[in-house]
Amino acid sequence: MEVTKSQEQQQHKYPSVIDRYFKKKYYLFEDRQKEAFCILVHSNRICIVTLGETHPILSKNKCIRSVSFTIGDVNRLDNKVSGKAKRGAQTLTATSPLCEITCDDGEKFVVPAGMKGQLIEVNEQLLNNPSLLTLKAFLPLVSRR
Amino acid sequence: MDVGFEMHVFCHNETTLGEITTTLVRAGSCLLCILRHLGVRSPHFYCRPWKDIEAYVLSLLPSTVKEKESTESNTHPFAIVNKPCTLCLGILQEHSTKEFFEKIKEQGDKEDFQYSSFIASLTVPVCAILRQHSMLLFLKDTHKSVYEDKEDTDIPSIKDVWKWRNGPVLGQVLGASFDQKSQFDILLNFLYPESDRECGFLLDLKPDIFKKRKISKKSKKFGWETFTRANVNKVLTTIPDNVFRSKFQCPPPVPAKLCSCNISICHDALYVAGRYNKYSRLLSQTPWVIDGGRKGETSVEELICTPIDQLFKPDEHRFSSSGREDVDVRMLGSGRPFVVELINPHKVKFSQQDLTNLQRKINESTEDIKVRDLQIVSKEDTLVLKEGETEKIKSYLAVCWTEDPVPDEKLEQLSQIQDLKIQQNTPIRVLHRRPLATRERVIHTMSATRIDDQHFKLHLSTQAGTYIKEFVHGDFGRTVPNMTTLLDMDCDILELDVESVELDWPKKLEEGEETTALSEKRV
Repeated sequence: MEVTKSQEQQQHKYPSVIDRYFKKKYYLFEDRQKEAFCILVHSNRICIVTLGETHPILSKNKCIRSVSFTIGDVNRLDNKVSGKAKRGAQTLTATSPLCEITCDDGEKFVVPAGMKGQLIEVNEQLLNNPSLLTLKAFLPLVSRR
Repeated sequence: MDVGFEMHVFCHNETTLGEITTTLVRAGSCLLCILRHLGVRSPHFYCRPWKDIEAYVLSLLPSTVKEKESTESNTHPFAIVNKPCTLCLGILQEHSTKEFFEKIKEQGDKEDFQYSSFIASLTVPVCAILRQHSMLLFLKDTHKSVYEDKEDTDIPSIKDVWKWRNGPVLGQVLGASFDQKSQFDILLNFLYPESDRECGFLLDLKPDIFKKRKISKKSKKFGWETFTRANVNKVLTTIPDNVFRSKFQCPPPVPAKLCSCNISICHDALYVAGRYNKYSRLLSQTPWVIDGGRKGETSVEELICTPIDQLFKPDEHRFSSSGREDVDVRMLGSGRPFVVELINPHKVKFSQQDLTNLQRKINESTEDIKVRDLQIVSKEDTLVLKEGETEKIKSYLAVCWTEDPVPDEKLEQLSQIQDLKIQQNTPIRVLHRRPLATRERVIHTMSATRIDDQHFKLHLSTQAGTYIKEFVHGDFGRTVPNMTTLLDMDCDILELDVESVELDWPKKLEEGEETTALSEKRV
């Protein structure tokens, strides 16, 4: 099987997994609009919350020390869903906090859900490897219902 | 007495036989039910012409009774059409006549069925059990010496007698043979509206056994049937005779009218199996409906099943295959095994040659799929299909892209890997319809062939149920390890083909011209 012509053309600009399956939507804090969050919406309505390109962590190249999923009296790590319908999921509104990021210089940022829905899973890899966030890692997975 | 009929009646004393027959006639029994209660067990006795049977029974009656009966009533004591039988409710009367058989034939023709053999399944009203029990009790009272040791089961059943007498005759009318092993079933559901009411007293006697059953999927056929043959039979053995007599009239009362009959005709399901190849990257396997609208003109299922339906004319079909592939994935090699279950096919007389012709027709209708080894298989054979879905090894070819030029050693390393265990979280693209879970899968072997700096072909063979696309791009790190982690750079999948489904079923048919052409067509 040879690489088809269209693939050759796309060698330099090939639609990534995100480009193929997701639409990007943005959520901004009203008072702190630089802290943007990019929500990747899959065609099946499942959403992934990530840091927006203009978010200070990315724009100022900050180093992340840790990520905590316990905010207030909610622990996102306690979220357990079962079955196709994802029963037992924690419900979220746009302002529900998903996690708190602590940077090397002490600055803290809260990541909001940015949308109404049920929490399916959080990216536990961030506990051991917080720097993944600055690469292309995803944050929590949220479903829009 | 009559000539050379073999019979095993309950007694051979002429006088006693005469008395018993009189009792039965007076109690409202029809001809065949009289024979049943006299203990006649040989099938071909019941097959004699009506006239002969009538003559025989008449001959049993003492002459005094014969005269009396004819003078006291206008109608002949054996007017089988006029008086509904208290025991069979007409099943061995009106529903054993040529007119009734013609009705059955008419229905079969109207529904356009084709058949060369048949079986008949009868459903007799439940109250018939009670009526027979009542008659037996009455006979025990009036003719103790003959009947005191007899059970309900000693009397040939209505169903058996119906089939003995009518099976062959119905066969002649239909032009088909009456065969126990036939897959073509004529269901005769005899309905007697008073049946439940007649059984009603049982509810008072044994309320816990006759709890009203909820309509579940299984009992949908029977609706609110409180009284079934099974539980009524069971209960009868526990009710003492005197209690029964007090609750139910012995002998049984004359029915208001004959029971009616619902005729339904149905052929057992037929199974057509084969293997299909898919060459299009725009074709879904099954009809794709989203948000009420249709996406895509057709599907693998429709391309295969529409011509099959045209030939077999089933009420509906069910398509199932040994696993499936995405819309944008081709199915190459010797194809994926599938089976089409045809529910109640109206046309069934087809040879293997007919199926080979059908296969050619399907293959000529489109370039997007090809079918091979199309054949009829038995129901047991179809179990093998699903085995292939979960147990067999599948081979794939993926065209992969890397963000940076990938060195030869890295590609070489891939070929060294054997039986790599991976953990796959439910891919995001199916997460809306599958539970969240982590599945362990095995990549048995891999080998990479370079196309250029950033592209290579990857052959893999994996355990069934492995998500290949997610293994290549990693699905946001939710499948580990993945090609991105193995090559230490971003990796993505451009194209995927299934090269083989290692299930050796259905049987490979001798390759005709078209199947040879098929295997040469694609890599």
